[in-house]
Amino acid sequence: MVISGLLVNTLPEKLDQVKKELSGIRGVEINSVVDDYRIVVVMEAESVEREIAVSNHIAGMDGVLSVNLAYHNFEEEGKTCN
Amino acid sequence: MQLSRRKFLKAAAAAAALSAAGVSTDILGLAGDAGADPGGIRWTKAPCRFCGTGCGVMIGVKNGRIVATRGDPQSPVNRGLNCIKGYFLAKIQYGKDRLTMPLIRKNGGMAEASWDEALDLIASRYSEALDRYGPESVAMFGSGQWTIWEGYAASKFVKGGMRSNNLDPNARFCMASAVAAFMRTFGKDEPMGCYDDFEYADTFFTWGANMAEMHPILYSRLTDRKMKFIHVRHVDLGTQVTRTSSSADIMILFKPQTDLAVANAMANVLISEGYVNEEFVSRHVAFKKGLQDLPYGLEINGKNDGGAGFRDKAGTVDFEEYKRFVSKYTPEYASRLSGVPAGKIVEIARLFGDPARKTLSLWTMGMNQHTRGVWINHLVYNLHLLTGKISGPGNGPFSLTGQPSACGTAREVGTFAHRLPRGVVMNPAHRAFAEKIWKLPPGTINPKPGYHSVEMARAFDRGDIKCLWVMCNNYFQALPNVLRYRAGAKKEGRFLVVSDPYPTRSTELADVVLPTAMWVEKAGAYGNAERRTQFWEKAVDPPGESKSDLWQIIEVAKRMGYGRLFEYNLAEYDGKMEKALFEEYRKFGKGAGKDLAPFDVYSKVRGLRWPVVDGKETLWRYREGYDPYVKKGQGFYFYGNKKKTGGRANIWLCPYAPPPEQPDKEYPLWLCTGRVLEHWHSGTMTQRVPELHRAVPEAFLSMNADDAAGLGIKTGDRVRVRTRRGEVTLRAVIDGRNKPQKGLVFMPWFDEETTRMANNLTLDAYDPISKQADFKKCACRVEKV
Ligand code: SF4
Repeated sequence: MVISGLLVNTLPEKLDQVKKELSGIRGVEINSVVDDYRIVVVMEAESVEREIAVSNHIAGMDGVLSVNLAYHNFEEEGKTCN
Repeated sequence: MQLSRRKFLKAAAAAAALSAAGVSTDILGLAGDAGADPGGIRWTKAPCRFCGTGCGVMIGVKNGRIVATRGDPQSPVNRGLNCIKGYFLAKIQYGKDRLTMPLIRKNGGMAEASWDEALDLIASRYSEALDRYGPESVAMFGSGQWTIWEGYAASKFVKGGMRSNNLDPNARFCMASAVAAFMRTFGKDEPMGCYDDFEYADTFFTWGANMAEMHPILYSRLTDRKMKFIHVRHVDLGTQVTRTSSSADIMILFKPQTDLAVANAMANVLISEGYVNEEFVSRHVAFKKGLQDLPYGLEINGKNDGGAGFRDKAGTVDFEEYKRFVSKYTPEYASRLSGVPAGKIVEIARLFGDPARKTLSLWTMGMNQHTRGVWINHLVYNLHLLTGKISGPGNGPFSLTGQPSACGTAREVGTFAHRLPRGVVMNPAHRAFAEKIWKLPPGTINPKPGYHSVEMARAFDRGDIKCLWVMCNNYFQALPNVLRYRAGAKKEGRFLVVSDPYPTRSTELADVVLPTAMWVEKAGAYGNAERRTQFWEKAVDPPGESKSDLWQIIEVAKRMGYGRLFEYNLAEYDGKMEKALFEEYRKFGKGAGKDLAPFDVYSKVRGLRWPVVDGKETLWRYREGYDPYVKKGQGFYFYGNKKKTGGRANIWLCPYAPPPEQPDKEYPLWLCTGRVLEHWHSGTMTQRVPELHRAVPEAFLSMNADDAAGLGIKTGDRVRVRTRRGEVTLRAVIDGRNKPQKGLVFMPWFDEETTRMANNLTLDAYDPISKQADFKKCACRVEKV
């Protein structure tokens, strides 16, 4: 299990749409929204590969300006989550 | 995973992201100050291993392994955030195929060897070549990813020891054109401004730079500024629509090479519509005209066209002559060449010139990898100098860098074929200065510049260079027209050494492969694009017998009899070779506009921007009130040009010139190469996640929809791309993230599969002034297979 904290910057008018899309991705939790356009996201995944793929996917979403990584823990990569 | 640990880590992740967004996490009562981790993680700082932005990373180590990373909240560059390439930091050191032992070619295969055996072999082959063929027969090709002391040690070894100037870095492929133009304009290299400019600029110009993907943290600073201030505008100029263009307010799509005409036409509008800052120009600007008809560094029937040893001849002209020169570049004329509507050129020139707005220009490879790269850099400086929008918060030309220490090591240490840590080898005073610091007999340093990147490969191919040591880069994939040079490296009588942490397209050609300690497996220092020098300490051990490049250089030097170059009383330097080298290196910049702080200072701070004078860093150079080298009353002072123009910056008269190869009947399309986010490390990473169908497992060919339709090509089809040099077979992507203009195709250069290597195709022409190759333009043909 790997865990990361991300900051997703959106176009304010697309915020709700992006939030909806994010909530459909397995392992992605919306923690909060700051300044009406920045979404604090916590992601759990089984591998770094999946984290990279998901974050790239988010970066490619309509209305997303950028996805940045604040925190990344991979001490338990390869172990399953309970 | 224990639930409590998992909960803790999730809270820490949320707290880190929240605090990076400016929310104080104490108020929210969240646990997660990463420094107080009960899980036993020890945190240390380092600059990021990837791009030249130089973000701070906190590295979490547990049981001798890196287990976590965090954007460094104390770093002024990135304020707690990394881009998503930060995920790769978890992987770069722990790939299964890490090299752990030296390898020597024996009977056609590679056999493991001891360090002694490998180092003795290198030393004896280099010594033998020196004895028989002289210093021009030995070479080293280094890197903008070297630490500062590795580059410094390499310079001392090659120039002070072997008396050769055949030392060049891969940074020659990356920003040599920016360097040459900075030198010719300001007499000193590197941007005058700093990243603080992002929070002051009103208008951003990105010139052929896809910052959204290549410099994401800086791009976030740009978009943050736009979010907060509604008047802020962003103009993107390029040859394809990228993720950066899609968030810009104005997109200018020009035909390859015609940026030269567009920039001149903008200058024309600035002049004819009265946007010139007359006072600034009359006090601080001089006008220069060089040769107008330049070679392209091509070999024609085995003969160089004159690019290899080309030197420009500059003459001084006046403002009136410059005005006459640009008057030819009417918006209409530039429009005919570039395809940009004339009205658009006028519109962006007015936006640029608006005296009420601060203007920041940003660029990287699009301008630098250009057979007239120095010229296009000049043409952008010209706009800033005409309007006086330079050297102050929010105003300035800012060239970004692709490698973490392209500035700190390649440019500042000067690991180029003509450079010394201060000045150039051609200058007797500069040689004498280096000889004094290096304690060498006068006359030791060779006055003749060595082979630069492309010419180095040509000399190795011809056999003029017998021994080549490639360090910290992948030369035999990165070279343009690479097939020719790969064949050259395999010829009899060539001795190739490659130091790398991983097997690459270069190690496979080597006679000796040395396993290298990377990033935080050793102590290091990098310098980023805003002149910020940053240090880190060793955090973990390298695997197997891997050793740092620094150790490798010194060990070979010792075995060749140059040990005295690296003899220091280490007791004076806390036992650290790195400190001894840095303290010596610092002498070169002192009082010369490149003052650095003492070694120990950098261990504590999150980097400092040079010149560091009286303990204080410099945010904007050449400007009174910010730069300690500018006296009261001077306003601006371009002291790099003190001797030549009395401290004025130069506006250069640079015309439009066509590229050496253009589409024709046989090869009707433009080919542009570059990078995409996913392929920085490995395209296969995204391939294994079936639920996300947008993954791109390999290099692809990005096409314009009309071009594809004309050739009957759909997304996913296999296509063959051919140029006069070679071919690749790729899958086509139409209307993907990059949308090339009609007539242009784009492919990323990352893929190392030999049938998909971009440099099978590229042309090995280069800018004759900077000697930087053009990876952005050649003619190709595409067909469905
Ligand atoms: S922007 Fe560059 S330096 Fe910053 S985290 Fe990304 S790759 Fe590293």
